[in-house]
Amino acid sequence: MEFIGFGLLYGLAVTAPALAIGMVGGKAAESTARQPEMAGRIFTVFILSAAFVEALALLGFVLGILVQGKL
Amino acid sequence: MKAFKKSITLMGLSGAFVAASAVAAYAAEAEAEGGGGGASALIPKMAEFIPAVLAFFIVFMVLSKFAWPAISDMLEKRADTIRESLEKAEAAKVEAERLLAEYKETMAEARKESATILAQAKQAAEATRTEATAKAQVEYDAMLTKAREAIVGEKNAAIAELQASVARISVAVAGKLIGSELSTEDHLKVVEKYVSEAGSINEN
Amino acid sequence: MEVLKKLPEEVDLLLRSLSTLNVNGQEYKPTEFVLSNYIFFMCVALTVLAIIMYVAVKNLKMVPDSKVSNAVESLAQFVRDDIAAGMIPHGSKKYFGFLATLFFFILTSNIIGLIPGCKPSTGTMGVTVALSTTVFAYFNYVGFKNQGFLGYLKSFVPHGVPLAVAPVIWVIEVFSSFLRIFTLAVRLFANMYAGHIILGIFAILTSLFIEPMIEHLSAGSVVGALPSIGWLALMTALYLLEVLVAFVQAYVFTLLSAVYIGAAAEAH
Repeated sequence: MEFIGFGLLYGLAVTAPALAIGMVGGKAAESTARQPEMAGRIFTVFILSAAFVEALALLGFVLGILVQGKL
Repeated sequence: MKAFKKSITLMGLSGAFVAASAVAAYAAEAEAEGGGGGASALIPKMAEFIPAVLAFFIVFMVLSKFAWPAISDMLEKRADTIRESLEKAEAAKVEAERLLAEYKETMAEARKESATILAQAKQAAEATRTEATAKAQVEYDAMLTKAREAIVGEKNAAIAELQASVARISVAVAGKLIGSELSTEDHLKVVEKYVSEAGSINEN
Repeated sequence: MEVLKKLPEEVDLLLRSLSTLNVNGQEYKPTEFVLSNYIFFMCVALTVLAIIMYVAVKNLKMVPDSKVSNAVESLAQFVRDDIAAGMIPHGSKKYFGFLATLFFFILTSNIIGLIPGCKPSTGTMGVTVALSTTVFAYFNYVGFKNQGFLGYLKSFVPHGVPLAVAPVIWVIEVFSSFLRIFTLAVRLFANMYAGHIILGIFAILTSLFIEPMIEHLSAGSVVGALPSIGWLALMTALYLLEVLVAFVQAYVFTLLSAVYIGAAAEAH
């Protein structure tokens, strides 16, 4: 039961960030293809956005781990 | 870029809200259960917070005093040095190019000059030669003429003398042959006439 | 799967080892003020940082020949040019020291944490909140100093906001600026904590599958140990990812601090 709870929590927590990080990465690749001379700046922006999104996913993961013993 | 910043801010905000609410909930729960347990990991502990702040400030002070100024100065100095040497190299290159152009120009000028000089010399030599030839020709002609004149003069004089001596000898011969004294004057005249006739025949 | 029966208790042990303990492994009590395991490894990281910085500064030369000072210089240049100058439009030089300290502090902690047996001091909320609180205090100090007391307070409301909604926006903005403490800290903490949990779980799986083979060697136990090769490969890949994460998180933390400082340094 605990594992199912954790699995559900993590799975649900990660769906939106997964979509978001896909969008960010796709857009970054697209922008780099469109303007290769801006690649450095786009990479910075990409890392920043990815970090923002990733934090949410990791928060879900950490909460899941932490809650595990409480369900 | 503005839209991007906005979206980043929104993302950060939403993340913060999620985190804050989650933590609030779990902190409440953890407190209800009397501390310990899972969510306590998300609550900063004073025993870590205070040493960390102190350590950060000590590191900040020490590095700001000893490390960052030195490193930042060195970076700037190196950048300046590189920029300067690049500028110097650029200047040297321009100078070298200018010198090369100047040198090339000088060379071309010198070549042109030498060609002119050569042509002049050739011309002068040619003129000298022509002049010398002409002079020699003139001298030769003059000498030839003089020589001819001299020869003609000598010949005429010789002929004249010959005529005179022939006449005298003839008169003397004739006087001796005849035994009488001829009037020298008259006979000379006659003989001369003959001799001159003979001379003229001879001449032709 | 018989071997997996042991997994929950092993994971519990892992989680316990990753929670804040006394440095001697005893249970940590909030009432006692003692050296915790994370603070111990923070001290280790800072000692390493001090040694690296000493060597680097001592070997600073116009034509660098020391690897340490070369590495430190290029990282410092990265902080100065890409983070500080990129995010703070004017006078980024003043904030270089703070940002570089932040970057090197977090980076050293993260890297030290990747050594087996060590822990990243950034893997506990106490330290990350301490860092983010310092950043919060610093950018507010910069804001008050550069824009004046009222000017900075006013700068929370963007230009062109109608007067009627301005107070609401102001409250929201001030609140969100306080939330920065939390978002910065949680992002760093969650990355480090989760990364180490994942590494630990794969390590546990590797050893769980290989255990029967060590206890008694037989054809069955050898076949049973085969999956641990896969777990080990996954763990290695994730370890490399964690090296990247160690850099990226230091970068992101410093970058966001620079963004906040840049926003506070002048009216926008």
